[in-house]
Amino acid sequence: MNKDKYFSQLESLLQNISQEDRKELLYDLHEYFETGLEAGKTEEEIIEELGHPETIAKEMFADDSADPNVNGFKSDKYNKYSYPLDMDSFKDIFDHSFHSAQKFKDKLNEKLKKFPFESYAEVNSTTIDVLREETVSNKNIKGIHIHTTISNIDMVVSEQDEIHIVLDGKISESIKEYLLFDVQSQGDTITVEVSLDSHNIRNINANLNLQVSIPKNYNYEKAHLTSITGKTTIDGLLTNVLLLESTSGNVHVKNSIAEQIDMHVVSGNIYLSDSTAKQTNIKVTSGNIKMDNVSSEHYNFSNVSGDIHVIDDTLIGNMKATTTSGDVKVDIEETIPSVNINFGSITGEAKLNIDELTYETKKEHKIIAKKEEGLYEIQVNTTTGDFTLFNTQASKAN
Amino acid sequence: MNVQFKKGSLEMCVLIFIHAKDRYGYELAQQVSESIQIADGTLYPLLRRLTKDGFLSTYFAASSEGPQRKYYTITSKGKEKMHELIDEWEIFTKNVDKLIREEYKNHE
Repeated sequence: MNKDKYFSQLESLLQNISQEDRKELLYDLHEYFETGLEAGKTEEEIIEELGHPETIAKEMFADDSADPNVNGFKSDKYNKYSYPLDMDSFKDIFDHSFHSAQKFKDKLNEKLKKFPFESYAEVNSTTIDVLREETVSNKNIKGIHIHTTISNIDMVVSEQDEIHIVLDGKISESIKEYLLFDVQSQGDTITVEVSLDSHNIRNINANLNLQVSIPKNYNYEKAHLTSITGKTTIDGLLTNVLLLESTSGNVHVKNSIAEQIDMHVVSGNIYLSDSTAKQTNIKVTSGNIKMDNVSSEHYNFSNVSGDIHVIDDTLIGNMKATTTSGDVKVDIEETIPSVNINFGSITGEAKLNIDELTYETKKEHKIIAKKEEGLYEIQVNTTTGDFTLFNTQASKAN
Repeated sequence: MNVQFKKGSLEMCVLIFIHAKDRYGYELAQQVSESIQIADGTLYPLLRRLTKDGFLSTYFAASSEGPQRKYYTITSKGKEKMHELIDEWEIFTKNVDKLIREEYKNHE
């Protein structure tokens, strides 16, 4: 099958969907085809990847029948909480989670102005103290895995030979029996888990801190930390790989040395200071990334709405930064060695304050420039964010 | 992989990918098929529905390779939906993991 045949078959299959849907879908598939061809693929390869026209058409109809507006049936699939305004009791609210109730509240704005949400949130506010401790041997341990859904993580070094783990803080009394604190030593890996062993929990208070003290100057192969909520602090870790995943909460890593740092944070700021890593990959959806005195041969930053800020004495590595609306700021205090700069954006602009830069391209939203032979690469791509590269020394000299 | 598993998670994955970065269809399809093997073409009906439901919106912009492309971006309603789906997913997978751990592995 070739492209023309593919599309004529698809068009005949799509006769019964709305003109707009058909138009949009065909446009998208045309664009897919064009992009594929540009990428050097053949029509046959592209068709293979796209799938049979019947598969696509079937999917289109499947989606249509799921559309609440089809057949005059309004199931309000995505507006579950748009109940009639004349509801005479708010009892139903209590059947939803607080989050859903919040949405409900938005819908019934006027009626709910005086609704005491705050007092609802305080229902389970009686708290109790938590203190749990474990000490495990660090002998022949290669990996540390910490998983928490409900506490902060504080990783520190100590003079001890063992790993000492303390969970302390306060939680709502109503959930005390569900709090899980588990330390396991299996093979060469230590796993620490802190979680709530129940899902139907809302409006609870939890203010917990998980402190993990590791022996000073001990080199781990892998440290893997995952956290749903709570801040994470790491001070003095020595590891080949540091892998950190966090859904929400700030992250601060300092005085640490790793071959590779991988961080993936959905919402929260990341601050990395006085550390060394050959390869640093950081991905944040919303939150700022700040690097202060970190040496890395390769930085790879990806950020949607937050800013990226790198401060260093000098630049001795490659950097690749991608943001949507966030700005990218690089402040180099002493010298900027030979570098290649490549900046591209839709509406963002770049300000480069460095001496001896030769421009290959210098447009409003696109810059390709070079200093000396271009030993290091700085590549910045943004949608609306700006890029500034500032050399304190150069600005003094000017 | 089980086709029902893919179906159940595809909408969430698509929202997450677009939330991370505005993407055009081809780019998104490449990204998605790295983690979930699907026929790329089946992604578009889903994108169409998510757009119609107000979870995504589109705009045209020049791509880094040059030509104009239709970019998909997530709306605030879409973000809400994504968070909802992630919450549900986490509870669901945790329960299933637990079931496998306790009911299956222990009795094998």
